[in-house]
Amino acid sequence: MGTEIGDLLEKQEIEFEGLHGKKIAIDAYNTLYQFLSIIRQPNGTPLKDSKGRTTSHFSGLFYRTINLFEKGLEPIFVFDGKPPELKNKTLKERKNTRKTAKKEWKEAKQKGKDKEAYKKAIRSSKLNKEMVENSKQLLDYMGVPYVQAPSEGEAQAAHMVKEEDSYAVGSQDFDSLLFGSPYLIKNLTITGKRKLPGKDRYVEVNLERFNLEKSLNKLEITKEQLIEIAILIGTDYNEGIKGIGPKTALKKIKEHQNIDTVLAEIDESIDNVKEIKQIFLNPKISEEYEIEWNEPKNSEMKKFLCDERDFSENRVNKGIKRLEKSISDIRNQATLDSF
Amino acid sequence: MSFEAKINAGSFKDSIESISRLVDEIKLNINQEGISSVSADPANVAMVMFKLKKEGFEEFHVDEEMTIGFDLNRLEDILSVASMGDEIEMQSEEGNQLSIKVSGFDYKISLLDPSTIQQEPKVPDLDLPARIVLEGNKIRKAVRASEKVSDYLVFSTKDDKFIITAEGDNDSVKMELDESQLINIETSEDVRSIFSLDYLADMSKSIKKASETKIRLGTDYPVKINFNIVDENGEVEYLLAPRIESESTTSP
Repeated sequence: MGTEIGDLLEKQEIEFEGLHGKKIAIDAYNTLYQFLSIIRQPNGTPLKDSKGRTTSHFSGLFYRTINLFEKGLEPIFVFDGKPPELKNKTLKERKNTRKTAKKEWKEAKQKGKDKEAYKKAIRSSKLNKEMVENSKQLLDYMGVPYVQAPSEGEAQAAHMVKEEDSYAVGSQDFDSLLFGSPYLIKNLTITGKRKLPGKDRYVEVNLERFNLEKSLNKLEITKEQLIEIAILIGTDYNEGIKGIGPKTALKKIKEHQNIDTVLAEIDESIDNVKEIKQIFLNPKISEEYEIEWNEPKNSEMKKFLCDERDFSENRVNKGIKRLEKSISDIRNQATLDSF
Repeated sequence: MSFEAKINAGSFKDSIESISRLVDEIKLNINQEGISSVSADPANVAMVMFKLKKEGFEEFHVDEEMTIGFDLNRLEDILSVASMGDEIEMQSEEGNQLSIKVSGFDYKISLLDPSTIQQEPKVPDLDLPARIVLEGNKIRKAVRASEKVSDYLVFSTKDDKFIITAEGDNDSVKMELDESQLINIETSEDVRSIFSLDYLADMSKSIKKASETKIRLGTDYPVKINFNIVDENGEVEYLLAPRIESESTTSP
C-alpha cells in the first residue's frame, strides 16, 4: 500500500513524551487494517464474538486508543471516502491478494501449519462497510472524534495538519507527505516489541517522525518532484517503472528536473501522469469538518463491547477507568507556554 | 575552546540530579561566571533553571563561553561510582568530548551536539501574589502523604496559612502550616492551584535537601519553587504548570 519513498525521507526516532498534548490525525483505514492483521491467534484466527463476527479491530480501537491517551496524545480518526477512480486497479489487485491469502490460510490451518497460516491470515484481512460503521460508533461512545473524508483519508488528514487542527498525520504509509502534511508519525499503535512478519525474530518498534520540509531540503527537490519520484516507483494510482527504485528515481528526477523528461530519456511511459499529480497536489478534501471532543459514554461502551460482542466486562471496566483518567489528565493539565 | 574544573562529587551529584529529575538531555552553558542551563520536560509542563557559580567549584577555568550537550543519565552512571567526599575532575576541548576523572577512573564520554537537543524553552513572565518560605523537607513530606490518596495536590493560602490538600476517590489528607511552622509567608490575596504529583514527587527529592525553599503561588497559575544547592553557590528554580479543573470533571 502507498508509496515506497520512506528510505529517502528525513526521519527521527522520537518518544511519546514529545507528543504530549498534541492532536494526531490518524488514518483510520490504515489503522483498522493494522488491527485486523496483527490482533490474531497464533494460527491466524482473529478475535471473534460468540456469533462468529470478527472483533480484532474493536479490541485494537478500544485498548490501543486508550494507550495513546495515556501517553498524552489525542487521536482524531480520519476515514476514507470514495477512492479516486485511478485507484480501482490497485483495489482490485488487493481484493485478489486477499482472496488468495484467505484460501491459502484455510488450507494451512487445516493442515495444522500455524506459522504458515498466520502469515497468510494477516494478508487476508478485509474491512467491510459494517465494520467501518461500527468502528465509528465505538469511537463515538469513547468520545474520540472522527472525520469523514470525501476521498482519500490521508489527503484529508494532511489538510487538517496544514490547517493546524492537528500536529501530524499518524499512518504507516507515506502518502500523507505527498499530500503535503508537514509531519508524519509512524508506528503510533504498534510500538514496543513486535514479531517480524513470517519470522521468529522480534524487533523493537519505535515511534518515527518524518519531516516533509527537512526531507525536501536534504534531497534538494521540490514537493512536486517528490511526487514525481513516487509516480516513477509506483503509487496507489499507477504501476511504477520496472527496475526503478527510490534511489534511481531520485537520481533521474534530479538529473532531468521532471518526470516527462525522465520518461522520454528511458523510453518508458506511464498513463495519467498529469491526473495522478493532480490527485496529490489538489486532492479532494472537505473544509467543513468538525472535531468534537465528547465525554465517554460508559454504559454504551459496555453494551457495545460486553453485551453485544462478548468482551470481558472486567477488562472493559478497567479500560474505561483508564480512558477517563487519561482524558482528564490531558485536558486538565496546563502547559507552561500558555502562561 | 577549553574547559577545566574540579568539584566535590556530592555537590556535582546534587546539581545534576536536580535537573535529571525532569529532563534527560541538557544544553549546559559555561562562561566565566560558572555553569547554567534552562530546560523543560518534553511535555512543557515543568521547567528547571539551574545555575552554579564558579565559587561552587574547587577549580574552574574556561577560556571562552561555550555550550555543551549532555546526556544526564550517562553522567549519573559515572557519578554513581563516586563517594560523596571524592573529587571530580572534568575537562573538555572543543566541546565534543568530556573527560572525567573520578575515584581513580578515567572516563571519556562523547558529548551531544547541542543543536539536536530541545530548544531552550521560553520562561514565562509570572506575577505570583503569594510567597512562602519553608524547609524543603516539609514539602517532601506533604508530597508523600498526598501520593497515598491522590494523583494531584492543591497548594493554597488562607490568612497567612499555607495549606496543602489532596483528595482521592475515598480518602483525603490536609496539612496546614501557620506562620510558626513556616520561615516566612507573604500574601496579598488567597490563592489556590492544583498540581500533578507525578512531577512534584520527582522535584521534591531534590527540594527536601534544602533548608530553605521559596514557593511562589497564584490561582490556577504555575508554581515557582526556588532553593539553593552547593551551599549558597548554586540555585535551582522549578516551574510547574497547574492542572486546570474543567467544569465537566469532578474536582480532585
